[in-house]
Amino acid sequence: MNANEEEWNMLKKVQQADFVVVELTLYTDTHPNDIEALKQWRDAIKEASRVRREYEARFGPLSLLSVPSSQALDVGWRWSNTPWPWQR
Amino acid sequence: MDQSQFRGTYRPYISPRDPCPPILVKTFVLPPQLFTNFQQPGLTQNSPEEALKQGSLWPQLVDGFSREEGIS
Repeated sequence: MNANEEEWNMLKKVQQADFVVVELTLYTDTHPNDIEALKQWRDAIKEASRVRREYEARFGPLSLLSVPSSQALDVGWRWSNTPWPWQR
Repeated sequence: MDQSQFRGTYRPYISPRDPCPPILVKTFVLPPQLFTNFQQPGLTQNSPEEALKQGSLWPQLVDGFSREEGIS
C-alpha cells in the first residue's frame, strides 16, 4: 500500500469520524437526556479530532483552522499550492 | 434492506404531445423515519465506515438511497 493510498485511507477515516459526530449531534438534539448517547457523542468528538490531528501531523492541514507545521512551511507548503489533500 | 420497501411509485400521465420519450413509472423515497414515531435510545449502530457508506449511524434508518436516484 503506497503512501498515497495510506493517506487516502486516513482521509476517509477523518470523514467517517466527522460523520459519526454529525449523526450523534443530531441525535442528542432530539434526545437530550440520553446519557449514553451524550457520552458517546463526547467520545466521538474527541475521536474525530484525534484522527484529524493524526492526519494533519503527517500530511498537512485540512482546514484553515489547523496550523501547518514549521517544517511544512519550510518545504514550501502553502494553501495556494495545489493539489489539496482531497485532490491528491 | 430490500429496495422496494422504502420506495413509492406512481405512473405520471403521458401526453401524446411529449417531445421526449416518457418516463412510465416514477419512484420516490419513503425513508424509515416516516414510519418510526420516535427513535428509541440504544438502537444497534453501524461502524463509522458502514455509517458513512449507508448514510446513517443506525441501520434501521437506512433507506437504501443510491447515487443514481440523486437527492431523495
